[in-house]
Amino acid sequence: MKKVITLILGLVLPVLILIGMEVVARFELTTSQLFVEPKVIFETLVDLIKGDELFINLGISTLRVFIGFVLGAAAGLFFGTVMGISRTFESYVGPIFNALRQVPVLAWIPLFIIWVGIDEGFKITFIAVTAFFPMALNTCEGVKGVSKSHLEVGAVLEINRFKQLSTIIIPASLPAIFTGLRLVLSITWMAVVGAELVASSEGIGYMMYRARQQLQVDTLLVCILAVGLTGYVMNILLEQIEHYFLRWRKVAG
Amino acid sequence: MTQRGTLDIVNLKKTFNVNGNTTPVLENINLKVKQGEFVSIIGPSGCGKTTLLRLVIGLENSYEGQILLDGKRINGPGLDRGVVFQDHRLLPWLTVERNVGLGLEGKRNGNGVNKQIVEAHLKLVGLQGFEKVYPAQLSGGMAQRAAIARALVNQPELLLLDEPLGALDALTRMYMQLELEKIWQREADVTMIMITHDVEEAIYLSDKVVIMSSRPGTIKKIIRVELPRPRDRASYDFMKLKEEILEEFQLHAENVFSYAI
Amino acid sequence: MDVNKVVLKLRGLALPLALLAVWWIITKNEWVSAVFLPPPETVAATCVKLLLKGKIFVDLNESITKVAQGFLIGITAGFVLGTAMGLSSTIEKLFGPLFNAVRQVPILGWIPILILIFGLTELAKIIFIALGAFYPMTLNTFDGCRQLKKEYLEVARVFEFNKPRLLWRFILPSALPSILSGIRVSMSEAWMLVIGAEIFFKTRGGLGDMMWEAKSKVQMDIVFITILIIGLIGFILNHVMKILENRLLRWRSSN
Repeated sequence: MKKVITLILGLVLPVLILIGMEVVARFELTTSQLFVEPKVIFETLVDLIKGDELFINLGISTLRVFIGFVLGAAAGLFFGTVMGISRTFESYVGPIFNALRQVPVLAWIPLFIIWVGIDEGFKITFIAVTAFFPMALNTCEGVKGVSKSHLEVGAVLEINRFKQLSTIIIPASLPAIFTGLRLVLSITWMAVVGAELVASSEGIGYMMYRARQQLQVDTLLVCILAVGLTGYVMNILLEQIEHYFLRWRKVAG
Repeated sequence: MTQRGTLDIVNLKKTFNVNGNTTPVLENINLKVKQGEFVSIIGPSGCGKTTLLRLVIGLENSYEGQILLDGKRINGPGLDRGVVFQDHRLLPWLTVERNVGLGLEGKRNGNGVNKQIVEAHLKLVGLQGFEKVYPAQLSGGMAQRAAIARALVNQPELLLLDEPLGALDALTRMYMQLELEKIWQREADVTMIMITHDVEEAIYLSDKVVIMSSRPGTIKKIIRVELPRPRDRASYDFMKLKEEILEEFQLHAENVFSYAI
Repeated sequence: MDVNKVVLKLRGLALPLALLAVWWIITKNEWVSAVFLPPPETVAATCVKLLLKGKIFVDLNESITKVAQGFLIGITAGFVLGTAMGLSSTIEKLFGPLFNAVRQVPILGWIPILILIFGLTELAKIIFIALGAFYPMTLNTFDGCRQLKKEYLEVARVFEFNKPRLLWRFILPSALPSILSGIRVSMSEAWMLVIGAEIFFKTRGGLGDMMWEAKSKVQMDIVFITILIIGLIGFILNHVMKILENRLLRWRSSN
């Protein structure tokens, strides 16, 4: 019963917005080209789902995110782990890493365009760089946060360095690593839209760019919906993976 | 006309609803506390002593029977009762001074009156010089003193202490018992009710020790402590009383003496 | 300062100096075209020239004005919604689902529709920045308002505190750490988005535009300098917020 009320309350605002739009449409309160009836949006949604265009573009964007994500996160994971373990390495590299981290990611775009061009290489580089910094930072903090007592257990048992890494340090910093991964996922998903808005001829960002130029508000809204939903689904997938890897954290019972 | 600070509990009964089952927590509780008395309530965990105290504080509301403060039924918390919790519950974002003055904030006393009251109470608990310090910087014993001062600034009729020294180490605890006795003696007309599971602490401080038993919580026995103050923990009478109380919990006498060495 | 710390500081300088040396050698021998990698001395000279010419300060001023407006609108709205949702579960149930749904859309995805509705105006950019600041602020404030432990609520009841005093003395102070970090996150988000706005909305004025124009004309030295300035300002904003946090949250430290 309580759940039903919660659900209904959550639907109140969206339904009110739809009703508002419907009322505006029925009584022709506006002549603006930008206004679209809910019915039209729904029809466009059905059309786009039936056709290939939306899914092809979404697929291309997802692939870009995936490649950039994997490259950037892997590099960040490696870099962050080394920086967390070795104080010497951190003392050499830490300051410049922290300096570069201060640059808001979007400010790298012009530099990359000049160096890499505007092709696929640019998009992947940009996405990977946006993934790298938060990943490295979270991993480094996770590794540094591994409790002394766990490390002492390792020392007492005379485990070698590599074993120590795989059995103590990595598992213990896994929660921080997953926090980093989730952050990175949402940032890379934003980055792909940005990269495609700047320079692209395909992908969901490009589709939005074109819809804007052709004043297709309905297509634009459907794209926004698709982008949000895809990001949401990817987030849930990542959460499932996290649940699996962190099942030891579950409280008994 | 009853005297200020008299607590009268008559035929008190309290039940909890757990998954549709009603479990009695307290049954047939009858207790009279006079003004200025120090009463300890002692019992095994789960005997409902904390529930009893929460009822007197007014944090639990539905009950059968009567809980009367100065002849009036208790219904919800009030400034006529001061409370000291086991975890001191000082607000970490306020200085000691402002924490102690918390209960005075609603009162528009004239210039500096509130400040004077706070100062006097800090002095009472021996925390002069710590006015501007934050709780995170205090030791456990000091934090608990600040909590006692906070509970006393409103000049309550009744001071309710829920295992106030329970979280302290053994030595600090003995020291705080002395302090608590001093405070009680200086605030002569404040009635104090303390929950504890330390038998020695109860005998050391109280005029009356209320022994409870569990499932459902009832009062098993009330023992008067008529030893002269300050009390000597090693005296024969003290030990005998301790033995008597421990016997109520079916603990053997040998344990008592081996503990005392 | 002890010797160890000095050594650590010096080590931190080693890599930047080495990079600078490599940069200098590469450009000296012209292994890479100066178009893509201008020599360090050219960048330094351009930097001095830009600072003397003063136009950069006009752009800087424009970006900062914009970011300040968007940021203030965003955090105010976020504070109000976050507090309301934190205090009332009805409001949370009413606004929560919609808020969370809208939040799933990557912030840059709103640009095309903002351009359609508001055109290439200052207003569109400010709304965009405000939206970016709004999310983290709302989430952090909401979280913060839920921080107050039940034990403290009992203290408030014992002292017979009314609703406004409960909010002022208990709920807001316990939410403060979370609110302040919300402000800090919102601030760096807003700072990134003002650059984004100036790039994506393709309008005149601001550091982002300066950067974009330099990119179009392949003036690598100016691109470098703008990145440096943007990074530096981001760092200063973050640092100032951290100092403010430490001051306001003195009560948290035990020494």
